[in-house]
Amino acid sequence: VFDDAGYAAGPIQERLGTHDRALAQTPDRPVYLRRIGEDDALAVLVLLFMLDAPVATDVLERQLGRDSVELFERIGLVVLENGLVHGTVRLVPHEHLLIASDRYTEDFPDHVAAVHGPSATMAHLTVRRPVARALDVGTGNGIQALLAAASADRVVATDINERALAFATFNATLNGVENVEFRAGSFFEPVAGEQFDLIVTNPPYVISPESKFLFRDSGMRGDSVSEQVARTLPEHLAEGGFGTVMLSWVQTGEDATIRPAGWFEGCGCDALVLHTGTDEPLSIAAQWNRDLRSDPDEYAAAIDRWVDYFSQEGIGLIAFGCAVLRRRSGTNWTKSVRMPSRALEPAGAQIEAMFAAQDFLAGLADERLLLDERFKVSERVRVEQELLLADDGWALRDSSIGIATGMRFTAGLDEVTTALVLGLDGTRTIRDALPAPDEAHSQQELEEIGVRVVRQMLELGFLQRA
Amino acid sequence: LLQVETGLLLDATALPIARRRVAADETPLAALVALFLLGDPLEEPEGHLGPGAAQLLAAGLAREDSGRLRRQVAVIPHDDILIASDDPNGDVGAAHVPEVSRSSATLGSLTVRRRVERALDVGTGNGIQAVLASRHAESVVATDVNERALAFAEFNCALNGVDNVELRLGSFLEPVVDERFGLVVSNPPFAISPDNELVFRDSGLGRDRVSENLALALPSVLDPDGFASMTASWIVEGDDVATRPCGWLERAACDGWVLHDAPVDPLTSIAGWTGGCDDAATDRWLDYFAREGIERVAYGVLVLRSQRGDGWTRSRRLPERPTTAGPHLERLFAGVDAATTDLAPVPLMLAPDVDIEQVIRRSPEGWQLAHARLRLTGGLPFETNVDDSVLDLVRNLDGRPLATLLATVPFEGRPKVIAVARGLLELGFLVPVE
Repeated sequence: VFDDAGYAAGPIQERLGTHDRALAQTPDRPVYLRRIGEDDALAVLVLLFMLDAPVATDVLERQLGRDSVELFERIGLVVLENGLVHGTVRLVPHEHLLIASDRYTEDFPDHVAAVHGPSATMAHLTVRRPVARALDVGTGNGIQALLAAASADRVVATDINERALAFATFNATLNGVENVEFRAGSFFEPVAGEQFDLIVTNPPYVISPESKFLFRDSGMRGDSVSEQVARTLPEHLAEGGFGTVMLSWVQTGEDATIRPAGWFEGCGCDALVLHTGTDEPLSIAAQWNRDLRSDPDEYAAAIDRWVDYFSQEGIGLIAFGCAVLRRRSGTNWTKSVRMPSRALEPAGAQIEAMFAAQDFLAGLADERLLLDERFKVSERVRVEQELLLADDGWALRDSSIGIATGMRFTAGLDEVTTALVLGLDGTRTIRDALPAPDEAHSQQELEEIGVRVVRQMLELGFLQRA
Repeated sequence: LLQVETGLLLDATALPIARRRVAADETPLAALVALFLLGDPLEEPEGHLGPGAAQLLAAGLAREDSGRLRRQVAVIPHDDILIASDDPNGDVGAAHVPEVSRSSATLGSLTVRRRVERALDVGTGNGIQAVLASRHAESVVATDVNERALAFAEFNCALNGVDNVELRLGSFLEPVVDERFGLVVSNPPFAISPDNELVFRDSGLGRDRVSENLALALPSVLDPDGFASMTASWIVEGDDVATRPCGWLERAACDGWVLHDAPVDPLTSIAGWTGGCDDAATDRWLDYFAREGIERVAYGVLVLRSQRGDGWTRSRRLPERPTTAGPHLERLFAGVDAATTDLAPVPLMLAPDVDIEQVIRRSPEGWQLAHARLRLTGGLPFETNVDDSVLDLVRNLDGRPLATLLATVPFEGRPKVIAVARGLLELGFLVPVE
């Protein structure tokens, strides 16, 4: 029924004229209700399962057919009352999946949240290679488990929230996924002693004074939920397996990632810490209480409560991000990277390339050996140049390099690095691609620049070894 | 102080955050922001503002309320100008005088700012356009049908030390019949609305008649070499967004540019005026749009001048962040004037504020041009995609007549070269060499 109606993110956003996802909970809801109408199957499905608005039974039967309405009622997706049909869940399309969760208006502790921004971030930062066993910790509506199921023989998904497990089980059935096993319990408790080739977890990492929602608030102090999950995950990772965990931490001092990097010391894994951003308490409080906007007093009170809590706990800055771990025997490395501000796209292959680059760099006896290596610029790379008309023709004013997909890193280029980048075609060594020494740069300086820049570009996935 | 980048008109999400930022700051600036921008009462006014507190009371900008100061009006900075307007939460009713809106700010950017003897601001409201014009006009006449607006405009002139603005009560052009001005600006009540409730919003004329009537009337008060800029909204029919206002300019015997935003559907337009939350108003307006058969609406600025020669009109999407564009507008008029003549003898060169952004990518054959575009860096920051052949043309235009360049182009390639040069000239990427 949903497929036939075209119930997918693109058509729905186009119909409503918005990219907003929190459709039922914004001041614009009256506008959306009028824009969607009820003239076809897509419209009535959006009304029921996105905008949380009832539809008259006869209208629904006309648009979907009586059989479909009866089926919806039988499986509990709708209830009929006084000639009106009410949706009982929110249904969010995500790529090829359709994910049920609680409606926004259902305000109870075991509320199961919908697919939202961080779910997509998490999915994009997961390495997708075929594996035997995968684990999703704190599965919620089950989205990560269902995504993992496509490239794993078997998936185990845990949640302490029985209601979440019920939704996740329903969503597995709804999407025809049969290789996920759901287990009740807190975090890793249901998989004690077990190891997996892929682990994903989007824990309730928000640093908050509340324990209102299981999906958001761990009820643990400060960033201890992130720390506990980060420290436990490695035990459950099989040799060579990758794990992705969403994190939030209290930032102390200049070095944004020193705290989470410390959690991974001696854990037997290589760690890539991806730092999304850092905010001050007021911004965090506002951001996580956005849903209260329609009630200005409650919104203001929540902001005060959160800001007071941060101040009591001495929390000045809060950082967000993600860590990707890979279990590997031997000497492990940890690398921290600032995420680019440009919108994230699926980055699993890029993350694997970043791990390979770190392995390669860690294996070099001397950094200067890079000068004799041959690299080529990845075909996903773009060089952007700004030219200005000068007296003697076009002059390069500004030049930058960027990756067009995945984590879309960018970096500025100067004359030397521009020449180097344009020369890296896989046939030349770094030494040969460097420009000739001149008054500004000696050969030694150029080589130092070459080593430093090539290292950085390799680490972020700009370069491939030829 | 507020850490906002989107202007000073704060929505319900931003307001509580701004309040806390201001509360955490002890400076007089924070006290004034709390009082006049956020509209909050100010405790211990003398402690925050010293003798300034008494001055605010004396000027009538604030009133005392059991030891606290409350605003009588909003005061919002616009560049280096301070504009007083009605408290947005006040209950003045029909005569409400709003703050400097987004459309008013855009109009300020899209006005030709050459020195003139006399300037006219039609429907001045809080007076912002009159204050802006007073800086390059010997004298300014500002009209409004709303006496409350004239009082605000008079106050704002005084507040900003402007003494060459004469205010006249009356509807649109009535107070200036038979007079002529070197510059005319107007931000009329252009909402397409079924209501006649708010003077600043509803003209009561129905459909887009207020925009049409004003566009047709402006030439009657414009010097032959003067420019006029007005904001407008209009009903979009057919594929071309600007057909309708271009038709008005033709009927008014004006040359002109229609610089517009992307068209929107009735709901988006209505929600912009009613806030979207008032269900009854939204439904009433929707019914009106349906009854009138209005399916799409566009907003923009018309910049016009009395016709020279056969007359022309042009239109273009407004770039997202127009900055002060007076000189660029003059260039756009000069460009179309030149482009509508025989181009061959015209010496052309690239404008000084143009740059090229090109993106190159690696392919198995080496580095290739992925795309390139010309960008204007000031005024109206237009962009236009170009290919290798256009880049060649642009590189070779160094002030020589186009004909010299055409001589090197094969015969069959010449029409394209002329068409490209014409397009770039009209948008101000190329300029005729004096």
